[in-house]
Amino acid sequence: MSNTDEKLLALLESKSYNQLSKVERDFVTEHLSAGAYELQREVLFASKELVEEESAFLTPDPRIKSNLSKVMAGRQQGVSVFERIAAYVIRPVPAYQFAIALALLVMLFTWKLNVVPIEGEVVYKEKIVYQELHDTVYVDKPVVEIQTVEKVIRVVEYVEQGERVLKSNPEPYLSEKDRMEEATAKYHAYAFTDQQIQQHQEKSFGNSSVDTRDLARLIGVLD
Amino acid sequence: MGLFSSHKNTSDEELMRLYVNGSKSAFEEIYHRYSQRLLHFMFKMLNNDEEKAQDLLQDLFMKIVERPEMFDASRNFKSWIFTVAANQCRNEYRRSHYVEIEADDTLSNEATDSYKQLIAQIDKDVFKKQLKIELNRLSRDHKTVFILRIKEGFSIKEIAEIMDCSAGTVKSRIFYCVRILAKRLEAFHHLKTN
Repeated sequence: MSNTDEKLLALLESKSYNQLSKVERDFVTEHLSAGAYELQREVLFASKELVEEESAFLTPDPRIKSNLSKVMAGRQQGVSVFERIAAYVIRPVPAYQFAIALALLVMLFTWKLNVVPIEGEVVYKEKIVYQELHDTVYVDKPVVEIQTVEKVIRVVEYVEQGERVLKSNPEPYLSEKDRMEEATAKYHAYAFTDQQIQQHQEKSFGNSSVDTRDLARLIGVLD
Repeated sequence: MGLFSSHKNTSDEELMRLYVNGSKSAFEEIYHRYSQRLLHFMFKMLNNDEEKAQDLLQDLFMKIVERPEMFDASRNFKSWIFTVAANQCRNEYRRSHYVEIEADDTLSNEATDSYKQLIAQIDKDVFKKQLKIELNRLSRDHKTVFILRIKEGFSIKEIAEIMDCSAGTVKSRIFYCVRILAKRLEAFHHLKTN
């Protein structure tokens, strides 16, 4: 039987002709007609049905089971209780599980060897560990003496002092000063006429004191 | 039952292991699973000889009861038990000189015509009856392979193991059965489709 036949059989078992895809249908029609395909499929399923039906009518003779039970009872007398319990406890282990378990065992054993000194005596050291425990205990005590405590609370504030530097511009002052000196010098150098003095006196309404400033303004020394 | 009331979810192989260690309930579960199927298989292999099939069924289970260790735990139990059953039937064939009904692969036109005329008059029940006859006309090996496939659902590889032949032979036999049965029942099909 070639692969072709095997493929045909697989299709027969799984799909009707109408259920076949285009590719499958092309493949089938290369070897079988659609009618032949359907016929073979029908025969296959009818045979299966027939065999199942036929099988249902056949039942094992009940005497077989009773005969087997008798033989089994005799055989079981030879099986110990331990063997019966072991049958439930001991399960077959797959090879890979056994290999893993063995590897782990070897690893554990070699690790143990590294921890415990091989050479010399094995010394067992006793180590005392103190454990500090904390707990909260409430004790009720009667009041014996009441004391009044006066407490003066001083609040000290620290104030941060800053320095502010005021810078004056001496220039306007100096310029004014120079101007006044210049005006004074002009004033002293000026020879007032009588008319000028008289005018001034008239202005000042007969005051005897002479405001030099006014005079100076008069002559245009001051603004 | 034993310590556990049910073995329904236990594999066949595990049941055998339990039985080897003394569990009667494990054996009962195996018997429950396979006795009827094996009886039918033997029945077909022995050309519908039910009495002989019952005898061989008892022999088979008796062997398991007495020598459960003969089951190779590395094998699939179902394949193994059907292999034992097939071998028993073969031995019975040889001992009893069963007359093998040879399959007539080439139907003459004359026979086919008369056959078609005959089948053309029958209904579905008769078709089944005829199919049954045709199934029994198949050679023992063809019949066995065919039943293992369509009823027990064994794979080609498993059937090859049970029948102790190559996978190619198994495929060839199955397809031969389909073709020859279709050919012999062709007339009925024409009747249905017409």
